[in-house]
Amino acid sequence: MVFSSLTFLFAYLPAVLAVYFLVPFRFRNLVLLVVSLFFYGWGEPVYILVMIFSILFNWVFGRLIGQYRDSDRKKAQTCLAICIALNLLLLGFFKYFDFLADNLNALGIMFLKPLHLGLPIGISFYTFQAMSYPIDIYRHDTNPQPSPVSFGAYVTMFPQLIAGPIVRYRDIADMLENRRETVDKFYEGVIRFVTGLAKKVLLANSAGLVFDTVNSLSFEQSSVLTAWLGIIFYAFQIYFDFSGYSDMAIGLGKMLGFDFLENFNYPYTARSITDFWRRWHMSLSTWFRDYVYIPLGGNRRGLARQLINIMIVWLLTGFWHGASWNFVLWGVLYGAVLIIEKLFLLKQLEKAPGWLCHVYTMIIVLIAWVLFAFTDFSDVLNYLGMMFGHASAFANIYTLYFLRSHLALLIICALACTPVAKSRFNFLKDRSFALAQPLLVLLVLAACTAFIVDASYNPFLYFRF
Amino acid sequence: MKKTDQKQKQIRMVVTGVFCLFIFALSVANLFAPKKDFSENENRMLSPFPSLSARNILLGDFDTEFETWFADHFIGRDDWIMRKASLRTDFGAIDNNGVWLCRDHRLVSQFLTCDYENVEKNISYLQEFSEENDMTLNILLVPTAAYGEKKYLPLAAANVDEKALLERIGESLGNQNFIDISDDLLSVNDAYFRTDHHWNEKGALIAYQVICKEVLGRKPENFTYEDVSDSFRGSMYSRSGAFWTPADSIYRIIPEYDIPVTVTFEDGRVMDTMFVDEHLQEKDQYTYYLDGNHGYVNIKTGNANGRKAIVVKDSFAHILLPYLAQEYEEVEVFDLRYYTESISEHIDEENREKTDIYVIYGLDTFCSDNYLSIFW
Repeated sequence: MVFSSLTFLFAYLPAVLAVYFLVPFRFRNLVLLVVSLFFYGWGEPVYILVMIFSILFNWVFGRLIGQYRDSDRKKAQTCLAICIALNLLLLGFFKYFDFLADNLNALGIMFLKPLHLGLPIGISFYTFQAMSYPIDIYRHDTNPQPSPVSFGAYVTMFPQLIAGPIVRYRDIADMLENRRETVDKFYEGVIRFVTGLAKKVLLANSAGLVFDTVNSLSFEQSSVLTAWLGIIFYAFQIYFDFSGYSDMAIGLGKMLGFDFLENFNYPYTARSITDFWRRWHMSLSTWFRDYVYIPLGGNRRGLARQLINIMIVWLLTGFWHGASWNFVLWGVLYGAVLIIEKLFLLKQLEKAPGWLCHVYTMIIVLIAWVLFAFTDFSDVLNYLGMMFGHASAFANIYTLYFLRSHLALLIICALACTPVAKSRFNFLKDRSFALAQPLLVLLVLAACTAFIVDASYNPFLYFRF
Repeated sequence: MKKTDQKQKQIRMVVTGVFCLFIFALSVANLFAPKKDFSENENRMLSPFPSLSARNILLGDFDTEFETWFADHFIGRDDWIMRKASLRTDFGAIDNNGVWLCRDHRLVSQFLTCDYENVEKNISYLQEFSEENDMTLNILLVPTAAYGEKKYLPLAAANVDEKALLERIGESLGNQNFIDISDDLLSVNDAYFRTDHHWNEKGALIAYQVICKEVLGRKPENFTYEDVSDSFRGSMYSRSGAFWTPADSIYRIIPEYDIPVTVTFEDGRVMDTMFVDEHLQEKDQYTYYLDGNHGYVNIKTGNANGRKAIVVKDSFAHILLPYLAQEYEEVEVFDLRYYTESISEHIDEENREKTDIYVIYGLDTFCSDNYLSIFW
């Protein structure tokens, strides 16, 4: 079940809100755990077992580490190692086993067979979340959670279960015990959720459709400009999809009384790739910084070691995004650019005019999205080729079509990538027309519903069986 | 200061209320809204409630089945779909769900791209069939409305260059009798339904006249028309979501010298007309012509000239056959999507000179069709 579905909006969410606010506070974590497990098991009920297993061993090891961390460092260390290994094993098995098997088979080593298991939803996110817990206890950054129910509610919490943000236990430990659900907070949650829903349904899905159409064109119809337009729309799709999900997660969290950390900060306004990655999927970057980069020594062991550490982090970041070589390459590309910026480019960029920095950043980002968009390497080369001249024209009637029919979408997307829209919206609060905000919320909700219903529209053109 | 705080507080309450009301009211209304089994607009059965068996829930597709059911029966479904279409046009879109929204309330299917490899494949199947049976094929590929109605298209509507595509196909089929009606089609004002992807009785008449001239070498018959329906809302109407578009008319095609016909379908059903009035009460009124899609149809006429036609076709031929059948004593009609036996067997060895083979397809279906491989 995704947030942008009729089932979620008009069955699951109202039911959950009703139950959640009807029960007294001390049962709310339990309610949260139960409804989250339902949410999780909706697609693959058997995987609830994987989730419960994950909750239980992380909780047990968290307690053990808490018990030994002061008295017996060695034991605590062993517990931590086992716990991390179990987490990685789960993730590795479900996400990377087939990749490993396929690659070994391609090399002629035949002892593994791909299993073609479905990926448990959100496993990349929740294993990372869960792992932060024993590590933080070990480092004295937080204390063990006495209640398995509260801990379970943290791991499965449906708002951020499927697409983040990756919430560290220490960031919401207090809120699990005492949080206050207020109208003000609920209001903020509504605004945030509706914003996210609009980003996902109205912008990301529409932009995605444009990119798909560009991709369906044959060589005869291709052009350089269309290819660039296509990848720009893909960039919009990815950003609004992902940040829309984060917005919805943060919004739902607020409705339930939680404050999650921000995950995006207008990444497409970045002035360098270094800047871009401080603004894009911040919870993941923070996770890798705290739990991989710094433990590897970060920048404290000399430049050479630091560069290696950067490369390791980016290899892993790429691989985390998907079990396929194009994602690894995507990560490596970013690692390389970040190293170049660190070595000298960043200093040059500081002196360069602002527009040049933006253009430079966006070109790198767009090229990287091509790597991200296609799992097949020949498709990547093909598309890059089109962008850099290997097309049947520079521009043609198709370019004109994409521009004309989607001009409004293009402009709205571009504006929505900047803080402009938000400041405009806040401006509405101060106007004398008090109904502007509620009216806008209502219109956007209705528009989103219309688009979601339409997506299920499936006219059967010729005949009836 | 205090007053604005008060006001802010009120706004927050209202926004919260609006949101809750929206999701709760719609959820409840949806729960109690009447459900239907068939969607007129989509021309399909709506999905049933999924099986609640433990097996289906634990290991089956209960989740997706439930979500499909939920969406299929969502309250005010058609209204939402129309809202979405109109919202898109408000924001300057010239198309919705693959349909160009044209001037004069015309809805035209997009023909954005074409799989040239598949075209080559289909051409080679035709060639093989022709060689195998030692017969020259009369091939008529009807351009889509995106070509025939291009003067109504919005600016920047990008489509495959159908003229060039036809020429390309015509060249590859040089040894066959390739009938190109693209220029003639542009000579009439509206050769296509406004709300359907098919051509109409005017377009088909053009093709009939060209066939008379080029294939049969004789003067075409005259026809009159009777308006039998003004409520045809076709496939493009459904797909576009532009439910504000006015309906089309359907015409019965009446030859000047009426001759008796006997139409027999693959299941043995017999009619004495090529038109089915009952279908005028349904959504897809194009099935008025020749009862819609059938794997095999046999038409015998009172025109005792001993001539026979074999027509391999898609639905574009249905409205052409009332004209074309006048020229033959017998017409055998095959739709390869449903007909799986050999067509070659239907070529009467002793009567080869008096037999014409036609291949009649909409150009876009011909390009994407995957059934021609089973030609013989």
